[in-house]
Amino acid sequence: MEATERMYSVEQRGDAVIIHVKGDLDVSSAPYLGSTIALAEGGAGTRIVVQMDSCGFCDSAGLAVLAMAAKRNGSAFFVVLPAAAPCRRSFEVTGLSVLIQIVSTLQLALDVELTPGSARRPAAGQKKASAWNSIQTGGGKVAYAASRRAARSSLRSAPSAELP
Amino acid sequence: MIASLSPFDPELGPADSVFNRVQLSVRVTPAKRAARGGDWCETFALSKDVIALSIGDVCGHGVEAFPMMLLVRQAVRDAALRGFDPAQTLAAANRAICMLDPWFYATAIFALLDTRRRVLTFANAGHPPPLMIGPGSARFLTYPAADLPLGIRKVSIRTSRVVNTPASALLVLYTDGVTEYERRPLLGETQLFDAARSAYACSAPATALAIEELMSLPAYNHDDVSILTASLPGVNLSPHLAWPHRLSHAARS
Repeated sequence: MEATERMYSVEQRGDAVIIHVKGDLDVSSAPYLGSTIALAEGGAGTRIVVQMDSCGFCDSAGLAVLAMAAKRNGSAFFVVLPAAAPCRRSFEVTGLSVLIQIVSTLQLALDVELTPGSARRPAAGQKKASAWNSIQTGGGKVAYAASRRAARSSLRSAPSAELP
Repeated sequence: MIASLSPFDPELGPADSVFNRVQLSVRVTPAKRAARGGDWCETFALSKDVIALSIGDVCGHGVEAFPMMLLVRQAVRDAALRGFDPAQTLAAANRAICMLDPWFYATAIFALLDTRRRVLTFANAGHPPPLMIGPGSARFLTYPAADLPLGIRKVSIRTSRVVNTPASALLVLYTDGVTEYERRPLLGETQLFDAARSAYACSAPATALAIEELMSLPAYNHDDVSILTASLPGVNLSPHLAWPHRLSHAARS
C-alpha cells in the first residue's frame, strides 16, 4: 500500500479520474497501477487519465497494463505523454500508440468530448469470457449449436417413428 | 532437415550451428538466474534454402511466463511449418493467443532468411527492431508504422517487410532485456549497436555470446535476455577486405 501511495496519486476532477505516475513503471510497480486503474473503473468517473509526465521508464509490463486498460475502456482512457517524454519511444516501438490514446497535455485529455456509449465497459475487474471459457462452460455459440442439433434430430426421428 | 536450437535450458550453453554457410548463434539467459524464462529464441530450417528465425518475449518473465512462452512459440512454429509467410504466421499466432487468453500479450519477430538469394522477409509484432550490419553500413530495421503485439486485437494488420541483405552481413535479433537493463532504452540501443559492430569487426565465432559479453550486462539480470544472430557468408570480391594486412601494407607505402 505504501508503495502505491508513493508512486501514484489519484485525483478526481469533474467526470475524470486522474492518476499521476511518479516513478518508473516496471515489473515491480505495474501491478499497482493495474489495481489503481481497476479501482478507478469501479468509481463514478467516466474517463480515466494516466499522467506520465514524470515517468522516466516504462517496460513491457507497464505497457501491458496500459494496453489492457485501453482495451477495456476504449475511448474513455487517455495517457498524457509530452512529445519529449523519455518513455514515449516504447509506445511507438511496440505500435501501442495506435491502440492507446496518447495526448500531450492533461487539458487535452479533459477537453475531448466523449461519444455516449463509448465510455462504458463490462463491470470493473470482470474478465470477458474467452472462447476457451465458453467452450468449457457450453455457453454462447456451442449451446446454440447443440440446441439446433437436438431440434434437427427430433425432426428426423419423428417421421421414422411412424414408418414401421 | 530440421535444425532446431532452442536452448531454454541454460545448462546447454550457447547453441551454435551452421546452415548453408550461414552461421547461427543463440544466447538465452532467463531473469534472476532462473532455469526457464519468458523469452524464446530459435531457428529451424524450412526448406533447403530457407531458414526461419523466431524470437519473442511474453509479458512477465522467469518461470511464471514459461508455460505461456511454450504455447506462443509452438503457435508460431505450427503456422510457419504450414508454409505461411511471416505476416500470416504472426497473424495465425495472434488468433491462437486471442482465443486462449484475452488478457495476454507477447511481442515477437518471425523472419525467413533465404540463404541462396540473401533475402530476409520478416514481420514484427511490437518487438524491438532487428539490427543489420553490413560491410559498409549498420542500421536498425525500423519502419514508421509498427504492428501491434500479439494478443491485443483479434484482427490486426500485419506487414511482411522484405530486405536485401548484403554478403557477409550480420543480423541481430534481441529482446528488450538486452537494451533496457539500465532503464534507458536509447542508451541500451546505442550500446548494442556498438557491441554488435565490434563483434562483427573481429568476426567473433559465437557472435551472440560475444555481443552479450561486450555489452557487459550485469550478472544478475532482472529481465530475460536473449540474442539471436545470423552471419551470412562473404564473397571475396576485394582482396583488401579479405586480408587486412594488405590494407595496412597499402597504407604504409
